[in-house]
Amino acid sequence: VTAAPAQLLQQILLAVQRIRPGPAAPRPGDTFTGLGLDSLDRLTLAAAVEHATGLAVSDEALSGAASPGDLARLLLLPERTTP
Amino acid sequence: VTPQPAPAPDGWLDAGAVAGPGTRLWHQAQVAAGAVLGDGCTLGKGCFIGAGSVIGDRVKIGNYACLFGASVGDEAMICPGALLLEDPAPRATTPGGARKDPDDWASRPVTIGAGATVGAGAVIAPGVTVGARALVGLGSVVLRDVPAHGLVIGNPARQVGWACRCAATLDASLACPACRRAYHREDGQLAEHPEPPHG
Repeated sequence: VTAAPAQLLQQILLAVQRIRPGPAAPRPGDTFTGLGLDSLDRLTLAAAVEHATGLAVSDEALSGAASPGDLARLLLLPERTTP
Repeated sequence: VTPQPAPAPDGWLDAGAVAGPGTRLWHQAQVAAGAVLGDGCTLGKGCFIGAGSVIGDRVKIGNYACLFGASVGDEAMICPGALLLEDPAPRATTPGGARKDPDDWASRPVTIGAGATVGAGAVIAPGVTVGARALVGLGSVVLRDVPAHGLVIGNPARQVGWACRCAATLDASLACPACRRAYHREDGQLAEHPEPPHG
């Protein structure tokens, strides 16, 4: 399953907004911490993104992404192969 | 570790079990023969430490936690109700129907690193290694190894971040918002800066 970058980012932002509704819509560069997401919320976000896009959110992306834009970028990286 | 008599009358140290000085067992805690406890540990009410377990110094084990053959590093914390399992193919009997004895199954015990925390009610599958100062969230079902300082939660458990020595979650720059310790990636692992930043 593939997702276009803009569409993927939109899905992530939508999921963030559902998890932590705020007065302003989340932006790609906002940090998850700044948006109020804690570690449990990250897990919820991963499940929501996987459900919406069909992409697998790796633990590396989940723990390493600092913002919605960052997560989209990590999810679109080509899969690493073991030498 | 020097063998000691039962350090508390209410806990149960089986013959052949060993507990270091200063280790305390609360009511109905049981340490099976062949288990070794380090110094200064605290075992909560009703917990069970199975044969072959090796527990380091200053470890806390919560009420009703069960550790089957696990190796637990110094200063680790096993919260109430956690299960550390060791039998990857659990059956009551052999294929022939005989009761399984210790020689009839292979142990793949769990390893918990120094200073790590296993949250309340978490289940750690046989053979899994939880790295030093990792933090396993409450109720997690951990099927894969957890890196040092890894923060995992869920069923199956997934890594959602990194935990500081003080147990707070590190921010995006791998700094601790609570105690200000700082970390960096080194060969795929998380390494702590030698000194916390000042100011």
